[in-house]
Amino acid sequence: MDYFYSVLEILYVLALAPLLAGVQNSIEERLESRRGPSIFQPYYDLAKLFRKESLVPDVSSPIYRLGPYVVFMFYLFLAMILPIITAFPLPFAPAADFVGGALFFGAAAAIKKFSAIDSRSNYAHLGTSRSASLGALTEPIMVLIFIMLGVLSDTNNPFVINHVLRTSPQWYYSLLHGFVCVAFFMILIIETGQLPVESHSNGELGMIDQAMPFEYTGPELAFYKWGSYMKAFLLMSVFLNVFVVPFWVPTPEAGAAGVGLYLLLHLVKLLGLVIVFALLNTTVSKFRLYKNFDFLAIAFALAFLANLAYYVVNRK
Amino acid sequence: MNQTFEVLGFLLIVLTLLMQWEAYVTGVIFLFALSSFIVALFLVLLGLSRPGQNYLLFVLAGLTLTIRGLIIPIIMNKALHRLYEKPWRVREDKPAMGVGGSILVSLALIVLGYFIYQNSLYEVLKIRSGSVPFALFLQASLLIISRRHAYIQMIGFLMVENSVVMLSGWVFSGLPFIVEAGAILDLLGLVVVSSLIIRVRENAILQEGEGFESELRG
Repeated sequence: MDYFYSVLEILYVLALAPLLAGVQNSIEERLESRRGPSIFQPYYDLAKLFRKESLVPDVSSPIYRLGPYVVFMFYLFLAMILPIITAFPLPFAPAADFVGGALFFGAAAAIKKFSAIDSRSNYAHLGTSRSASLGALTEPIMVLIFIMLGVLSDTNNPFVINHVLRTSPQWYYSLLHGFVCVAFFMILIIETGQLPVESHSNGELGMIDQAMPFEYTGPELAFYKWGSYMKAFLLMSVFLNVFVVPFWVPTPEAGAAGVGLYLLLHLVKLLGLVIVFALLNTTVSKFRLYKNFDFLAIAFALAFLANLAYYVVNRK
Repeated sequence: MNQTFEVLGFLLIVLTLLMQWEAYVTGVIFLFALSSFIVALFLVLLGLSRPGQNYLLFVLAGLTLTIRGLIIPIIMNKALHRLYEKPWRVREDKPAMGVGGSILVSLALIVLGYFIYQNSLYEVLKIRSGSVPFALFLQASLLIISRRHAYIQMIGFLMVENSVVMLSGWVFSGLPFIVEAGAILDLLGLVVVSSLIIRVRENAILQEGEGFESELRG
């Protein structure tokens, strides 16, 4: 049964990741009093890209071709090990703990950057350099957040952290948890490319992740985009299931019916977060590029204050 | 009750960090008003937790709420509107220290406050989070040093005062001292306000020729 859940989890992430992007786009358009595309638009885009031929720059090496496939595979692997539809570890979960998961996200981002550099396009280089300078500072903050969660639960296993936060209100309502949640939300904004940091336009002054796949076409671009949707889906699921709303995630006692029900409930949770993002994207204006680092400094400060709050408040 | 104080204390620390981040003067004034409200709430809760002895704490809370939460921010906003053509665009454009750097220094100061308190007064007082006012004091001093805009410097000064009120109300419960100190510092604040406003006005007259360039800078 556990293997079945594993397969189900992968299919769930694969199938619904583009939907999330479509829903967000649609809500944003509605908030701006426009009709906007259908919520299934990302699927149509992917289908169209899969039918197109792929063009490869003469100057690129095989890394350019392989990059999107490897990155996609990494996210598939992460879908197996993170707590998305179950609160108990599935067969592949012991492959990596929380820090390991963060390393896999980091590795996927690094491969993305290598393949973007290999396209030898100026725009891709510009995006890569921006993404790298932001990423170099977000990774340590993420590690600090995971260390604080480790302090809270005595492990760095996401399933145990979920259990601790679900069952003990004194941790759920602690200052440490509050600071960690806000800091991770700020990191989430950067990683999923929401507005105070990154706008979804092709204006070269502000683009970060949009610039990296500039030379990609056809199936490679489709895999690249699908990978990005999956990354956003996974990070948002982790944010909800481990940090903010650790409740209702099915335990082994819930059985197949519980897991089935949770498949729907999780979509509702994600919808809530997507609405928050849509509100952000329609109300907040973009920071200038170098102001993003002040935003990161605040995220770091909050993660650090979680540490101090532990020493001041919770230390025995 | 102790936990509520801890939450409020950390909220104040976060608000001061946000002041370091905020470039627009109107935003900083708003954050200051918010932090004054929190200090007032803190004093009310403190009065409730010590029943019968300190009714003056409620008076002090009321004074904090009206003077530092409402009157001073309103006066400053009005002065901004008088001095500048577009008051909502007035901002710190040449800080003495970069924003990111000042936030990191601020963190270091919070830790410094914690260590100083933990190694000196904690042995005597046995209040777990008594380091929060010390941290606030250092952070607010940094705000004065790291910014060049007279308004923000003044708000840093008022934040120092907030932290003194918090420190004396929470850590040492000597109330007459607080009332006296609060009143004197408010008077001092008024003097500083008026003198600084004159300086700001002179600066504003000097800057009028620069146009959009200064806005694009930071």
